[in-house]
Amino acid sequence: MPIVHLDADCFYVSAERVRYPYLNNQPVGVLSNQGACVIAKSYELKAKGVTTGMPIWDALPLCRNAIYVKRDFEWYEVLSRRMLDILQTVSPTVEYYSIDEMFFDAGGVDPGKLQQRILRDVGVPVTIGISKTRALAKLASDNAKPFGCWTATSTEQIAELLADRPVEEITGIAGRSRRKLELSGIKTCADFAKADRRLIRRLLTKTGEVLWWELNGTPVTTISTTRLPHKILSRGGSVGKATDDPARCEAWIVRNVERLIEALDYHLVFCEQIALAVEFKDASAAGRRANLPAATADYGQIVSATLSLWKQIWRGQTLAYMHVLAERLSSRRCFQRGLFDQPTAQQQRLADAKRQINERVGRFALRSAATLPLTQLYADRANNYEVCDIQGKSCF
Amino acid sequence: MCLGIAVPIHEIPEAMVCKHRLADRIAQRENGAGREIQFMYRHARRLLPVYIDNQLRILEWGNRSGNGPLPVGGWCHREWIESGHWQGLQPQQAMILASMAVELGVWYQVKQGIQCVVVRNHAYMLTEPATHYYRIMTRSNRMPVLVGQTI
Repeated sequence: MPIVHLDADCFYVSAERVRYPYLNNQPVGVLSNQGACVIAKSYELKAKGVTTGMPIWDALPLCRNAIYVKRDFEWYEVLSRRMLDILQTVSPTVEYYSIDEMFFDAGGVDPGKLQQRILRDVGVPVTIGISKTRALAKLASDNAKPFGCWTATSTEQIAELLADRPVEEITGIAGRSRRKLELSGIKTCADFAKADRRLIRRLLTKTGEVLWWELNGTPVTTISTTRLPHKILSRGGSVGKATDDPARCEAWIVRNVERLIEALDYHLVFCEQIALAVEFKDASAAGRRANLPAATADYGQIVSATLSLWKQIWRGQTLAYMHVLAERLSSRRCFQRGLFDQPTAQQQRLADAKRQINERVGRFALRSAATLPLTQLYADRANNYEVCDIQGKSCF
Repeated sequence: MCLGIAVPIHEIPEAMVCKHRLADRIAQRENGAGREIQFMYRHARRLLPVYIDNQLRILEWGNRSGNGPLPVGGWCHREWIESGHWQGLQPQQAMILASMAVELGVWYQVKQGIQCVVVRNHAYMLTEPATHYYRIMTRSNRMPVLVGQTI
Protein backbone atom coordinates (compact mmCIF):
# COMPACT_ATOMS: atom_id res chain seq x y z
CA MET A 1 0.00 0.00 0.00
CA PRO A 2 1.42 3.45 -0.85
CA ILE A 3 2.68 5.63 1.98
CA VAL A 4 1.55 9.23 2.37
CA HIS A 5 3.70 11.96 3.86
CA LEU A 6 1.74 14.99 5.00
CA ASP A 7 3.68 18.14 5.76
CA ALA A 8 2.08 21.37 6.98
CA ASP A 9 3.23 24.39 4.99
CA CYS A 10 5.30 26.85 7.07
CA PHE A 11 3.44 25.37 10.02
CA TYR A 12 4.22 27.83 12.82
CA VAL A 13 3.34 30.78 10.57
CA SER A 14 0.19 29.05 9.34
CA ALA A 15 -0.80 28.34 12.94
CA GLU A 16 -0.43 32.03 13.82
CA ARG A 17 -2.52 32.93 10.79
CA VAL A 18 -5.32 30.71 12.03
CA ARG A 19 -5.88 32.95 15.05
CA TYR A 20 -4.57 36.22 13.54
CA PRO A 21 -5.90 36.31 9.97
CA TYR A 22 -4.37 39.74 9.32
CA LEU A 23 -1.04 37.89 9.03
CA ASN A 24 -2.27 36.19 5.84
CA ASN A 25 -0.06 36.93 2.83
CA GLN A 26 2.26 39.04 5.00
CA PRO A 27 6.00 38.39 5.38
CA VAL A 28 5.97 36.73 8.80
CA GLY A 29 8.80 35.27 10.84
CA VAL A 30 8.38 33.18 13.99
CA LEU A 31 11.21 33.70 16.46
CA SER A 32 13.09 31.18 18.59
CA ASN A 33 13.03 30.68 22.35
CA GLN A 34 15.36 33.58 22.97
CA GLY A 35 13.97 35.94 20.31
CA ALA A 36 17.20 35.87 18.32
CA CYS A 37 16.61 33.55 15.37
CA VAL A 38 13.93 32.94 12.78
CA ILE A 39 12.65 29.38 13.32
CA ALA A 40 9.88 29.56 10.71
CA LYS A 41 9.09 31.94 7.92
CA SER A 42 6.23 32.56 5.55
CA TYR A 43 6.78 32.05 1.85
CA GLU A 44 6.63 35.84 1.47
CA LEU A 45 9.58 36.19 3.86
CA LYS A 46 11.42 33.26 2.29
CA ALA A 47 11.16 35.02 -1.08
CA LYS A 48 13.20 37.90 0.39
CA GLY A 49 16.06 35.54 1.21
CA VAL A 50 15.36 34.95 4.89
CA THR A 51 16.23 31.40 5.92
CA THR A 52 15.38 29.25 8.91
CA GLY A 53 17.91 29.74 11.69
CA MET A 54 18.91 33.20 10.48
CA PRO A 55 19.47 35.73 13.28
CA ILE A 56 16.86 38.47 13.25
CA TRP A 57 19.52 41.17 12.77
CA ASP A 58 20.59 39.48 9.51
CA ALA A 59 16.98 39.06 8.40
CA LEU A 60 16.03 42.71 8.99
CA PRO A 61 17.93 44.25 6.07
CA LEU A 62 16.43 41.62 3.75
CA CYS A 63 12.86 42.55 4.60
CA ARG A 64 12.10 45.74 6.49
CA ASN A 65 8.37 45.05 6.48
CA ALA A 66 8.47 41.61 8.07
CA ILE A 67 6.27 41.01 11.11
CA TYR A 68 7.90 38.93 13.83
CA VAL A 69 5.93 36.69 16.15
CA LYS A 70 7.00 34.98 19.35
CA ARG A 71 6.61 31.21 19.17
CA ASP A 72 3.79 29.52 21.09
CA PHE A 73 4.26 25.76 21.10
CA GLU A 74 1.13 25.13 23.14
CA TRP A 75 -0.98 26.59 20.35
CA TYR A 76 0.98 24.82 17.63
CA GLU A 77 0.40 21.52 19.42
CA VAL A 78 -3.37 22.15 19.54
CA LEU A 79 -3.48 22.48 15.73
CA SER A 80 -1.02 19.64 15.23
CA ARG A 81 -3.26 17.27 17.19
CA ARG A 82 -6.32 18.46 15.26
CA MET A 83 -4.54 17.43 12.05
CA LEU A 84 -3.63 14.10 13.63
CA ASP A 85 -7.27 13.54 14.66
CA ILE A 86 -8.41 14.09 11.07
CA LEU A 87 -5.82 11.70 9.68
CA GLN A 88 -6.88 9.05 12.18
CA THR A 89 -10.38 9.22 10.71
CA VAL A 90 -9.10 8.44 7.20
CA SER A 91 -6.40 5.87 8.03
CA PRO A 92 -5.94 3.34 10.83
CA THR A 93 -2.16 3.57 10.46
CA VAL A 94 -0.89 7.06 11.23
CA GLU A 95 2.54 7.98 12.52
CA TYR A 96 2.85 11.28 14.40
CA TYR A 97 6.34 11.96 13.08
CA SER A 98 6.78 15.55 14.23
CA ILE A 99 4.63 18.53 15.12
CA ASP A 100 3.99 19.27 11.45
CA GLU A 101 4.70 15.99 9.64
CA MET A 102 2.78 12.74 9.62
CA PHE A 103 3.03 9.48 7.70
CA PHE A 104 0.08 7.20 7.01
CA ASP A 105 -1.08 4.36 4.79
CA ALA A 106 -2.79 5.82 1.77
CA GLY A 107 -5.70 3.39 1.52
CA GLY A 108 -8.34 5.08 -0.60
CA VAL A 109 -7.52 8.60 0.53
CA ASP A 110 -8.23 11.39 -1.94
CA PRO A 111 -5.31 13.76 -1.28
CA GLY A 112 -7.07 16.82 -2.70
CA LYS A 113 -10.13 16.30 -0.52
CA LEU A 114 -7.92 15.69 2.52
CA GLN A 115 -6.01 18.93 1.91
CA GLN A 116 -9.28 20.85 1.63
CA ARG A 117 -10.67 19.22 4.76
CA ILE A 118 -7.61 20.09 6.83
CA LEU A 119 -7.63 23.65 5.47
CA ARG A 120 -11.34 24.00 6.30
CA ASP A 121 -11.32 22.31 9.73
CA VAL A 122 -7.88 23.26 11.02
CA GLY A 123 -7.04 26.29 8.90
CA VAL A 124 -3.59 25.05 7.94
CA PRO A 125 -2.45 24.37 4.35
CA VAL A 126 -0.65 21.05 3.91
CA THR A 127 1.36 19.39 1.18
CA ILE A 128 1.10 15.70 0.43
CA GLY A 129 3.59 13.26 -1.05
CA ILE A 130 2.54 9.72 -2.00
CA SER A 131 4.93 6.95 -2.91
CA LYS A 132 6.05 3.42 -2.19
CA THR A 133 8.31 4.25 0.75
CA ARG A 134 8.67 6.89 3.45
CA ALA A 135 11.84 8.38 1.95
CA LEU A 136 10.20 8.73 -1.46
CA ALA A 137 6.95 10.11 -0.03
CA LYS A 138 8.87 12.72 1.94
CA LEU A 139 10.97 13.66 -1.07
CA ALA A 140 7.75 14.02 -3.07
CA SER A 141 6.06 16.30 -0.54
CA ASP A 142 9.21 18.39 -0.06
CA ASN A 143 9.14 19.11 -3.77
CA ALA A 144 5.41 19.81 -4.04
CA LYS A 145 5.30 22.68 -1.53
CA PRO A 146 3.32 24.77 -0.92
CA PHE A 147 -0.17 23.25 -0.85
CA GLY A 148 0.73 20.71 -3.52
CA CYS A 149 0.47 16.99 -3.99
CA TRP A 150 2.99 14.73 -5.75
CA THR A 151 2.22 11.11 -6.44
CA ALA A 152 5.17 8.93 -7.41
CA THR A 153 4.11 5.31 -7.30
CA SER A 154 4.97 3.98 -10.76
CA THR A 155 8.55 3.34 -11.90
CA GLU A 156 8.34 6.26 -14.33
CA GLN A 157 6.95 8.64 -11.70
CA ILE A 158 9.71 7.66 -9.24
CA ALA A 159 12.36 8.15 -11.91
CA GLU A 160 10.95 11.62 -12.57
CA LEU A 161 10.99 12.43 -8.85
CA LEU A 162 14.64 11.42 -8.46
CA ALA A 163 16.04 12.84 -11.69
CA ASP A 164 18.42 15.78 -11.35
CA ARG A 165 17.39 16.40 -7.75
CA PRO A 166 20.44 17.14 -5.54
CA VAL A 167 21.27 14.23 -3.27
CA GLU A 168 21.14 16.42 -0.14
CA GLU A 169 17.38 16.72 -0.65
CA ILE A 170 17.11 13.21 0.78
CA THR A 171 16.35 13.57 4.47
CA GLY A 172 19.35 12.27 6.35
CA ILE A 173 21.98 13.31 3.83
CA ALA A 174 23.77 16.55 4.51
CA GLY A 175 27.22 18.02 4.97
CA ARG A 176 29.75 15.23 5.41
CA SER A 177 27.58 12.53 3.83
CA ARG A 178 27.01 14.70 0.78
CA ARG A 179 30.74 15.34 0.41
CA LYS A 180 31.52 11.62 0.68
CA LEU A 181 28.95 10.82 -2.00
CA GLU A 182 30.21 13.58 -4.26
CA LEU A 183 33.72 12.13 -4.18
CA SER A 184 32.22 8.95 -5.62
CA GLY A 185 30.41 10.89 -8.33
CA ILE A 186 26.99 10.67 -6.66
CA LYS A 187 25.38 14.08 -7.00
CA THR A 188 21.68 13.49 -7.59
CA CYS A 189 19.00 11.36 -6.00
CA ALA A 190 18.93 9.33 -9.21
CA ASP A 191 22.72 8.75 -8.94
CA PHE A 192 22.18 7.59 -5.36
CA ALA A 193 19.42 5.14 -6.32
CA LYS A 194 21.46 3.75 -9.22
CA ALA A 195 24.69 3.41 -7.23
CA ASP A 196 25.98 0.06 -6.04
CA ARG A 197 24.29 -0.77 -2.74
CA ARG A 198 27.58 -2.00 -1.24
CA LEU A 199 29.27 1.29 -2.09
CA ILE A 200 26.50 3.22 -0.32
CA ARG A 201 26.80 0.96 2.71
CA ARG A 202 30.58 1.50 2.78
CA LEU A 203 30.20 5.26 2.50
CA LEU A 204 27.17 5.86 4.73
CA THR A 205 26.88 2.68 6.81
CA LYS A 206 23.57 0.96 7.46
CA THR A 207 21.66 4.26 7.59
CA GLY A 208 22.69 5.00 4.01
CA GLU A 209 21.77 1.53 2.89
CA VAL A 210 18.27 1.93 4.33
CA LEU A 211 17.87 5.10 2.27
CA TRP A 212 19.15 3.28 -0.81
CA TRP A 213 16.50 0.57 -0.47
CA GLU A 214 13.81 3.12 0.16
CA LEU A 215 14.79 5.23 -2.84
CA ASN A 216 14.62 2.11 -4.95
CA GLY A 217 11.05 1.54 -3.83
CA THR A 218 11.55 -1.13 -1.15
CA PRO A 219 10.05 -0.03 2.17
CA VAL A 220 12.42 -0.63 5.07
CA THR A 221 11.12 1.75 7.69
CA THR A 222 7.51 1.00 8.44
CA ILE A 223 4.88 3.35 9.77
CA SER A 224 4.86 3.26 13.53
CA THR A 225 1.57 4.21 15.16
CA THR A 226 3.13 4.34 18.60
CA ARG A 227 6.42 5.86 19.50
CA LEU A 228 9.21 3.38 20.13
CA PRO A 229 10.61 3.61 23.67
CA HIS A 230 13.26 6.31 24.07
CA LYS A 231 16.84 5.16 24.43
CA ILE A 232 17.90 8.56 25.69
CA LEU A 233 15.97 11.52 27.04
CA SER A 234 17.50 14.96 26.99
CA ARG A 235 16.61 18.51 27.85
CA GLY A 236 18.55 21.66 27.10
CA GLY A 237 19.38 24.13 24.39
CA SER A 238 20.61 27.68 24.31
CA VAL A 239 21.10 29.47 27.62
CA GLY A 240 20.06 32.76 26.06
CA LYS A 241 22.74 35.35 26.63
CA ALA A 242 25.97 33.40 27.03
CA THR A 243 27.16 33.59 30.62
CA ASP A 244 30.16 32.91 32.83
CA ASP A 245 28.24 33.70 36.01
CA PRO A 246 28.54 30.49 38.10
CA ALA A 247 25.10 30.92 39.71
CA ARG A 248 23.44 31.46 36.34
CA CYS A 249 25.21 28.47 34.78
CA GLU A 250 24.11 26.26 37.67
CA ALA A 251 20.58 27.65 37.43
CA TRP A 252 20.40 26.50 33.80
CA ILE A 253 21.65 23.05 34.77
CA VAL A 254 19.07 22.75 37.54
CA ARG A 255 16.29 23.99 35.21
CA ASN A 256 17.19 21.36 32.63
CA VAL A 257 17.45 18.63 35.26
CA GLU A 258 13.96 19.49 36.53
CA ARG A 259 12.64 19.35 32.96
CA LEU A 260 14.45 16.06 32.42
CA ILE A 261 12.89 14.54 35.54
CA GLU A 262 9.47 15.55 34.27
CA ALA A 263 10.24 13.64 31.06
CA LEU A 264 11.42 10.59 33.03
CA ASP A 265 8.19 10.70 35.02
CA TYR A 266 6.08 11.09 31.87
CA HIS A 267 7.68 8.10 30.18
CA LEU A 268 7.72 6.09 33.42
CA VAL A 269 11.41 5.33 33.15
CA PHE A 270 14.47 5.52 35.35
CA CYS A 271 17.99 6.28 34.16
CA GLU A 272 21.21 4.69 35.26
CA GLN A 273 23.55 7.20 33.65
CA ILE A 274 23.57 10.96 33.34
CA ALA A 275 25.53 12.99 30.81
CA LEU A 276 26.19 16.69 30.43
CA ALA A 277 27.15 18.18 27.07
CA VAL A 278 28.03 21.87 26.88
CA GLU A 279 29.16 24.33 24.26
CA PHE A 280 30.95 27.55 25.11
CA LYS A 281 30.79 30.93 23.42
CA ASP A 282 34.18 30.34 21.75
CA ALA A 283 32.62 27.26 20.03
CA SER A 284 34.64 24.82 22.13
CA ALA A 285 32.63 21.94 23.52
CA ALA A 286 32.91 19.47 26.36
CA GLY A 287 31.00 16.55 27.78
CA ARG A 288 31.09 14.14 30.69
CA ARG A 289 28.93 11.27 31.88
CA ALA A 290 28.51 9.54 35.20
CA ASN A 291 26.88 6.38 36.45
CA LEU A 292 24.19 6.81 39.04
CA PRO A 293 24.17 4.57 42.12
CA ALA A 294 21.02 2.87 40.82
CA ALA A 295 18.25 3.28 38.26
CA THR A 296 16.54 6.44 39.44
CA ALA A 297 14.50 9.53 38.66
CA ASP A 298 15.31 11.15 41.96
CA TYR A 299 15.95 14.88 41.71
CA GLY A 300 18.57 14.94 44.46
CA GLN A 301 20.69 12.20 42.93
CA ILE A 302 20.45 13.46 39.36
CA VAL A 303 21.05 17.12 40.13
CA SER A 304 24.06 16.43 42.33
CA ALA A 305 25.55 14.11 39.69
CA THR A 306 25.00 16.70 36.95
CA LEU A 307 26.44 19.57 38.99
CA SER A 308 29.43 17.40 39.79
CA LEU A 309 29.95 16.82 36.04
CA TRP A 310 29.71 20.57 35.49
CA LYS A 311 32.42 21.17 38.09
CA GLN A 312 34.68 18.73 36.24
CA ILE A 313 34.10 20.53 32.94
CA TRP A 314 33.93 24.21 33.79
CA ARG A 315 37.08 26.32 33.95
CA GLY A 316 35.46 29.74 33.81
CA GLN A 317 34.42 29.61 30.14
CA THR A 318 31.31 31.41 28.89
CA LEU A 319 28.44 28.95 28.59
CA ALA A 320 26.27 29.13 25.46
CA TYR A 321 24.47 25.77 25.06
CA MET A 322 23.92 22.71 27.18
CA HIS A 323 22.11 19.43 27.19
CA VAL A 324 21.47 17.15 30.15
CA LEU A 325 20.94 13.57 28.98
CA ALA A 326 19.41 10.66 30.83
CA GLU A 327 20.92 7.44 29.48
CA ARG A 328 20.53 3.70 30.02
CA LEU A 329 16.81 4.04 30.56
CA SER A 330 14.74 1.28 32.07
CA SER A 331 11.04 0.89 32.57
CA ARG A 332 9.80 1.49 36.09
CA ARG A 333 8.00 -1.81 35.86
CA CYS A 334 11.21 -3.73 35.33
CA PHE A 335 14.55 -2.34 36.47
CA GLN A 336 17.67 -3.28 38.35
CA ARG A 337 17.45 -2.14 41.95
CA GLY A 338 20.58 -0.81 43.67
CA LEU A 339 21.72 -1.76 47.13
CA PHE A 340 22.55 1.77 48.17
CA ASP A 341 21.42 5.34 47.79
CA GLN A 342 17.80 4.69 46.97
CA PRO A 343 15.63 7.74 47.62
CA THR A 344 14.15 7.61 51.08
CA ALA A 345 10.42 7.57 51.64
CA GLN A 346 10.69 11.21 52.70
CA GLN A 347 12.47 12.19 49.44
CA GLN A 348 9.83 10.32 47.48
CA ARG A 349 7.02 12.13 49.29
CA LEU A 350 8.76 15.43 48.62
CA ALA A 351 9.02 14.65 44.88
CA ASP A 352 5.35 13.62 44.78
CA ALA A 353 4.28 16.80 46.57
CA LYS A 354 6.31 18.93 44.16
CA ARG A 355 4.73 17.22 41.18
CA GLN A 356 1.22 17.56 42.57
CA ILE A 357 1.66 21.24 43.41
CA ASN A 358 2.97 21.99 39.92
CA GLU A 359 0.13 20.05 38.33
CA ARG A 360 -2.36 22.09 40.30
CA VAL A 361 -0.76 25.55 40.35
CA GLY A 362 1.24 25.56 37.15
CA ARG A 363 4.38 24.10 35.69
CA PHE A 364 7.52 25.15 37.60
CA ALA A 365 5.44 27.04 40.19
CA LEU A 366 7.45 25.07 42.77
CA ARG A 367 11.04 24.65 41.71
CA SER A 368 14.55 24.61 43.06
CA ALA A 369 15.78 27.87 44.56
CA ALA A 370 18.95 27.38 42.51
CA THR A 371 16.91 28.63 39.52
CA LEU A 372 16.45 32.09 41.10
CA PRO A 373 18.89 33.76 38.67
CA LEU A 374 16.40 32.80 35.92
CA THR A 375 13.36 34.39 37.56
CA GLN A 376 12.57 36.51 34.49
CA LEU A 377 12.72 33.45 32.27
CA TYR A 378 10.18 31.66 34.43
CA ALA A 379 7.96 34.75 34.60
CA ASP A 380 7.37 34.39 30.87
CA ARG A 381 4.88 31.53 30.59
CA ALA A 382 5.90 30.87 26.99
CA ASN A 383 9.23 29.50 28.24
CA ASN A 384 7.45 26.76 30.15
CA TYR A 385 6.52 24.82 27.05
CA GLU A 386 9.02 23.86 24.37
CA VAL A 387 8.72 21.75 21.26
CA CYS A 388 10.33 18.83 23.10
CA ASP A 389 7.44 18.92 25.59
CA ILE A 390 5.07 17.76 22.86
CA GLN A 391 4.84 14.07 23.54
CA GLY A 392 4.31 11.13 21.22
CA LYS A 393 6.25 12.35 18.19
CA SER A 394 8.45 9.70 16.65
CA CYS A 395 11.00 12.17 15.28
CA PHE A 396 12.56 13.14 18.63
CA MET B 1 11.22 53.46 22.21
CA CYS B 2 8.39 52.01 20.22
CA LEU B 3 8.10 54.48 17.36
CA GLY B 4 4.98 53.28 15.64
CA ILE B 5 2.02 50.95 15.57
CA ALA B 6 -0.26 49.58 12.89
CA VAL B 7 -3.79 48.22 12.76
CA PRO B 8 -5.62 46.41 9.97
CA ILE B 9 -7.69 48.96 8.07
CA HIS B 10 -11.01 47.31 8.91
CA GLU B 11 -10.48 47.97 12.60
CA ILE B 12 -10.80 51.73 12.16
CA PRO B 13 -14.26 52.92 11.06
CA GLU B 14 -14.25 54.56 7.65
CA ALA B 15 -15.81 57.71 9.04
CA MET B 16 -12.89 58.03 11.43
CA VAL B 17 -10.40 57.53 8.60
CA CYS B 18 -12.04 60.44 6.73
CA LYS B 19 -12.48 62.68 9.75
CA HIS B 20 -8.86 62.38 10.84
CA ARG B 21 -7.47 62.27 7.29
CA LEU B 22 -5.80 58.90 7.86
CA ALA B 23 -5.84 57.83 4.20
CA ASP B 24 -2.22 58.86 3.67
CA ARG B 25 -1.18 56.43 6.44
CA ILE B 26 -2.59 53.39 4.70
CA ALA B 27 0.12 50.88 3.84
CA GLN B 28 0.37 47.40 2.38
CA ARG B 29 3.42 45.28 3.18
CA GLU B 30 3.04 42.82 0.35
CA ASN B 31 0.87 42.38 -2.73
CA GLY B 32 -2.19 40.43 -1.70
CA ALA B 33 -1.75 41.21 1.99
CA GLY B 34 -4.34 43.18 3.93
CA ARG B 35 -4.01 46.93 4.15
CA GLU B 36 -3.23 48.60 7.45
CA ILE B 37 -3.12 52.07 8.93
CA GLN B 38 0.19 53.05 10.41
CA PHE B 39 0.59 55.55 13.23
CA MET B 40 4.22 56.60 13.38
CA TYR B 41 5.85 59.04 15.77
CA ARG B 42 7.72 60.51 12.80
CA HIS B 43 4.45 61.53 11.11
CA ALA B 44 3.82 65.27 10.95
CA ARG B 45 0.54 64.70 12.80
CA ARG B 46 1.37 62.31 15.59
CA LEU B 47 -1.77 60.36 16.30
CA LEU B 48 -2.78 57.15 18.05
CA PRO B 49 -6.02 55.13 17.99
CA VAL B 50 -7.04 54.80 21.63
CA TYR B 51 -9.79 52.89 23.39
CA ILE B 52 -10.96 55.13 26.18
CA ASP B 53 -14.24 55.06 28.07
CA ASN B 54 -15.35 52.14 25.90
CA GLN B 55 -14.97 54.00 22.64
CA LEU B 56 -12.33 54.29 19.99
CA ARG B 57 -10.88 57.76 19.53
CA ILE B 58 -7.99 59.18 17.56
CA LEU B 59 -5.86 61.20 19.93
CA GLU B 60 -2.67 63.19 19.62
CA TRP B 61 0.41 61.09 20.47
CA GLY B 62 2.06 62.87 23.37
CA ASN B 63 3.22 66.44 23.17
CA ARG B 64 5.90 67.53 20.76
CA SER B 65 5.77 71.29 21.24
CA GLY B 66 6.82 71.62 24.83
CA ASN B 67 4.26 74.35 25.29
CA GLY B 68 1.73 74.18 28.06
CA PRO B 69 1.64 71.94 31.10
CA LEU B 70 1.83 68.60 29.24
CA PRO B 71 5.01 66.53 29.46
CA VAL B 72 7.14 66.60 26.30
CA GLY B 73 7.46 63.36 24.31
CA GLY B 74 5.20 60.46 23.51
CA TRP B 75 5.96 57.94 26.23
CA CYS B 76 5.48 57.57 29.95
CA HIS B 77 7.44 55.15 32.12
CA ARG B 78 5.13 52.84 34.03
CA GLU B 79 7.30 53.52 37.09
CA TRP B 80 6.41 57.23 36.91
CA ILE B 81 2.72 56.42 37.16
CA GLU B 82 3.28 53.92 39.96
CA SER B 83 5.38 56.36 41.98
CA GLY B 84 2.77 59.11 41.56
CA HIS B 85 4.98 61.46 39.52
CA TRP B 86 2.15 62.14 37.07
CA GLN B 87 -0.57 62.37 39.69
CA GLY B 88 -0.95 66.11 39.23
CA LEU B 89 -1.72 65.58 35.54
CA GLN B 90 -4.66 63.28 36.39
CA PRO B 91 -3.73 60.67 33.79
CA GLN B 92 -6.49 58.32 32.65
CA GLN B 93 -5.65 54.69 31.85
CA ALA B 94 -6.53 53.62 28.30
CA MET B 95 -5.44 51.18 25.60
CA ILE B 96 -3.85 51.87 22.24
CA LEU B 97 -5.49 49.75 19.56
CA ALA B 98 -2.58 47.97 17.84
CA SER B 99 -1.95 44.73 15.98
CA MET B 100 1.67 45.46 15.18
CA ALA B 101 4.32 47.72 16.66
CA VAL B 102 7.78 48.73 15.53
CA GLU B 103 10.88 49.15 17.66
CA LEU B 104 14.29 49.99 16.17
CA GLY B 105 13.11 48.73 12.78
CA VAL B 106 11.64 45.46 14.05
CA TRP B 107 7.90 45.05 13.46
CA TYR B 108 6.34 42.60 15.86
CA GLN B 109 2.89 41.28 16.57
CA VAL B 110 0.71 42.86 19.25
CA LYS B 111 -2.13 40.61 20.34
CA GLN B 112 -4.56 42.97 22.10
CA GLY B 113 -3.13 46.42 22.47
CA ILE B 114 -0.73 48.65 24.36
CA GLN B 115 -1.42 50.41 27.61
CA CYS B 116 -1.33 54.19 27.61
CA VAL B 117 -2.32 57.12 29.75
CA VAL B 118 -4.36 59.99 28.43
CA VAL B 119 -3.81 63.51 29.69
CA ARG B 120 -6.06 66.22 28.26
CA ASN B 121 -6.73 64.27 25.07
CA HIS B 122 -3.05 63.47 24.54
CA ALA B 123 -2.06 59.79 24.68
CA TYR B 124 1.26 58.68 26.13
CA MET B 125 2.39 55.12 25.47
CA LEU B 126 3.32 53.35 28.71
CA THR B 127 6.73 51.67 28.75
CA GLU B 128 8.55 49.35 31.13
CA PRO B 129 12.01 47.74 31.25
CA ALA B 130 12.33 45.28 28.35
CA THR B 131 12.22 41.57 28.99
CA HIS B 132 15.23 39.52 27.95
CA TYR B 133 13.31 38.26 24.90
CA TYR B 134 12.27 41.74 23.80
CA ARG B 135 15.81 43.08 24.32
CA ILE B 136 17.26 40.33 22.12
CA MET B 137 14.56 40.78 19.48
CA THR B 138 14.75 44.57 19.20
CA ARG B 139 17.93 45.56 21.07
CA SER B 140 15.87 48.04 23.04
CA ASN B 141 16.09 48.40 26.81
CA ARG B 142 12.48 49.47 27.21
CA MET B 143 9.29 48.07 25.77
CA PRO B 144 5.65 49.09 25.58
CA VAL B 145 3.35 47.74 28.29
CA LEU B 146 1.42 45.15 26.29
CA VAL B 147 -2.09 44.10 27.22
CA GLY B 148 -2.48 40.37 27.91
CA GLN B 149 0.79 39.50 26.26
CA THR B 150 4.37 38.81 27.32
CA ILE B 151 7.18 39.13 24.85
